[in-house]
Amino acid sequence: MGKQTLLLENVTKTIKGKEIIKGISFSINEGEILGFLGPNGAGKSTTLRMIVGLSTPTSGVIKICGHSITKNYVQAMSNVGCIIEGPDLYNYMSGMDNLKMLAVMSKDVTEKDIFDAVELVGLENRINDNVSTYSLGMKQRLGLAQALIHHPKLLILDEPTNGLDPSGINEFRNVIKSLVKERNISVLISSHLMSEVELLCDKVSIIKNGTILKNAVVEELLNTQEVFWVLDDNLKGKELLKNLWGINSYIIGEKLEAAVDLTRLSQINKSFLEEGLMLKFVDNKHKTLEDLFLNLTEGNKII
Amino acid sequence: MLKLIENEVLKMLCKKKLLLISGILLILISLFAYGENHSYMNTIKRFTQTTGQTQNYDWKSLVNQQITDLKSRLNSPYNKDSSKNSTNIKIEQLQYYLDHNMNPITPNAAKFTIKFMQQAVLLFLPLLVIVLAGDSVSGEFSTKTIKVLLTRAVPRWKILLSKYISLLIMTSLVVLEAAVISIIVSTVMFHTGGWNEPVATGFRSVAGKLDASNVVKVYQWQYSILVYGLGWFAAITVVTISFMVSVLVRNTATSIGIMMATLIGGEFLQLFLEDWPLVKYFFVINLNLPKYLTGSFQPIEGMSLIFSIIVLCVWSIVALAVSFRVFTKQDVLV
Amino acid sequence: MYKKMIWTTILVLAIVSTLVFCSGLMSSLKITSAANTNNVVKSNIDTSTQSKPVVELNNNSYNILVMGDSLAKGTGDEKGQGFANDFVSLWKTRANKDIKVTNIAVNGDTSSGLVKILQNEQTLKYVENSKIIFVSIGGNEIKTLQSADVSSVSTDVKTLQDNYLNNLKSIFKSIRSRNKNSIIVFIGLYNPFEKGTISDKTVLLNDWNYQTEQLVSQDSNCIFIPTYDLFRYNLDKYLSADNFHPNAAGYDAISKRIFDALKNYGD
Repeated sequence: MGKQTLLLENVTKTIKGKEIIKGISFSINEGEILGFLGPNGAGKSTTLRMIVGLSTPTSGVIKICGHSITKNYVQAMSNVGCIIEGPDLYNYMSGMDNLKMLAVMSKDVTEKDIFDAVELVGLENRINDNVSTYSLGMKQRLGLAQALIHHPKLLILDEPTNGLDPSGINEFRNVIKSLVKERNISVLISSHLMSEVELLCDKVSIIKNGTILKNAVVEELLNTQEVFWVLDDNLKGKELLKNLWGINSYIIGEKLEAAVDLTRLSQINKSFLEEGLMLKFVDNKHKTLEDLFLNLTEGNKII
Repeated sequence: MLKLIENEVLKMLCKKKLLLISGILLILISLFAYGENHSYMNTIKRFTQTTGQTQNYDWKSLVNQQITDLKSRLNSPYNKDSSKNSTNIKIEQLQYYLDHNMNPITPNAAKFTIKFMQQAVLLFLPLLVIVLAGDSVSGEFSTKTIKVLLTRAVPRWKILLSKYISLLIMTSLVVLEAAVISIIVSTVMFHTGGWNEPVATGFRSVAGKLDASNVVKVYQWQYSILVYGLGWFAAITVVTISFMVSVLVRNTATSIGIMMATLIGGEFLQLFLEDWPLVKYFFVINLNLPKYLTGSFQPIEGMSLIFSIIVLCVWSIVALAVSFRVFTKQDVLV
Repeated sequence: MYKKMIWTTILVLAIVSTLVFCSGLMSSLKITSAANTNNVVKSNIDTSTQSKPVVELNNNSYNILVMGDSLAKGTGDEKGQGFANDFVSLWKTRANKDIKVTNIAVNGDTSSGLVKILQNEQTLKYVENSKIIFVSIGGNEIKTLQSADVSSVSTDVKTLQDNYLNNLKSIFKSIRSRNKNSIIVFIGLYNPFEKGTISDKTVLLNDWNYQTEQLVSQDSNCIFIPTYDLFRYNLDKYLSADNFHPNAAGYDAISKRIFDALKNYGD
């Protein structure tokens, strides 16, 4: 399993008498990528700010690599690289100057580290230009570079693919994946792009109204045993499933859906045909993270 | 820590603040020097017109007469030792004028440099340093770069301290620049230095009268160091308080506005509320430190150099304490 | 690197200038507060002068006391009289005793100096028994303004004048503390530089005399004797060789004017 790089235990935050964050807990281990999801105003940014020390939690524990953010700030922060709500860097200096300036604030960051990071994010050609001339995409890359130069064990990224074109997003995904593989770092990504989170993250935490609705492993969430058929007579099929196989099914629109053991699927299909039903489609019901997300966050359904 | 300070200084240089201030100083000092020269020329012209005498008019015999009178005062049996000091110095000063063939009213580089600081310390110098200090912290908030600055393995107080020290460094540079530019411009304009002229200082105001008992002799160049040292200290106080305002309001324009309003309002306070003794604890009233060296009357009872310095120190320390407390505890929501 | 050089230069300059300015600050503090030790020394001197025996004026003579600057002393009079002695020859008929003139004036003295002189016990004893007290002071102070020494550090017209007026108040207070009945005669200032004076300096002198006269009038038994008009067009006749003090004729003119003003005093 490895060490825990990030641990939140019952963290709350009250601003002006209103409880914004109502006791959330989750954790990340080494080499894991956690997706932090939630609708607007759920408290994602607030939580991320508390993790990196920009805000102080009203109560609860936040530990990075075992160091408390409130008690051992310097040690905790030396393991973190982050971009919070936009890559805002000094506009009147060049990208390289920005990185050099930030490098002296951490221990043991060499010129080589800086160059490596620049190469990694693909900014070698423009690194010596003034940041005011950068496009949003380039600023995002520079933001990522500044988060990486001191070799942190935990990367915290708030909407990192904002403003990147599809190839950029692809590149970004590859960079993160390779970083995790090579350096065994942990990543916490807050994003709205479900498809990306699905492709990139190992775990997700879904937050709404200041509470965590679900902490789960992506694979498990997406791995469903739901199958659907499109028959010429769905009602008859439903009866058949109930009487012959003891399986409860639902008719939703054109589809007849049920949770089945995939090993028996072929036999079930055969039984449909034996009863004279015509089979148009049969497929795995692919759940997307988006469906799950919308499901969870509409109303307060807790699974 | 040194590296952090280096970062902050480089940031300030990049923003070209220093260039702007240097430009303002150069233009203003040149204007002052030109004006001073102009009025001096006018005085000489008027005098030669009304009396038909040459440029040197009668200043030599006048000065000689003054020396004779002072010498006889020294020898008077009724003269206590207490005023012997100032009389001796005055004699020396007049003798210097004669020896160097200098008309006492001629402006020279030394007098101009000192006069500039005496005038500037009250409003002009504070305004310059407010421009410098106003956006030290506010600027980071408005451009949101504060996030990238604070999410480092450096405690917040260290970051704030490095900003403050870099401000102190820049302030010293600005005062130094004012001195250097004054010297250069006035030497070019007036052609004479006058740096070794003896000057009396140490007059005190005791019970409404000039007390000359502790007067010492210093040379103009030493006197200019005294005056600029005092001006520097006043500037440091203004910078510290600006810094605090910058931390509290987190907006550059507002912080500069507040400081300017305070400075100018303080001047009015001095005029209108002379009778209210509490006014002497307000820092703006205590900014005119070089004035104490000349022994002019104090606007409000009980003010002296040591008093003003203590008041300014207290204000600075409180401002720093507030800045640090607020900065380290506040949530950054930008 | 370029940036490194700039940074080191800035740092060095800043440290050096900070040290210099700090030393300036410390010295200023030292200068303005260097008081206490001197005070101790002062009081020693005080007691030593006071151990000298004090001479009293006796009431057998009509005592006139003259105090102030070189004008009071009579500098420039080729006959060595000064206005006080000239006045005495005119006043002889009015006094029923012998007139004794005590002149404690000091050449070049200013109002501050006169204040100190009046703190002296000997001076106060003279004041006690004098019937007329002549005061002439201020000329040496206003003289500094006449030479237009505007760049001098401690010259400020209002400051100078306020200082002088405060001293005058103190002088009168000292005199009245010992003698409530004598008449105080204050001699006003004339302008020895009339020929080379610019009009704004005349305004200064007039204001000076005016302020003095106002102050003088607050005392119940004091008179201000103007001399400006006496000398204005008569400088050639009335000034001595040094072009500053009056000569015998000038002093004579002054004493005649004093007599004119006082001839019915005491009736």
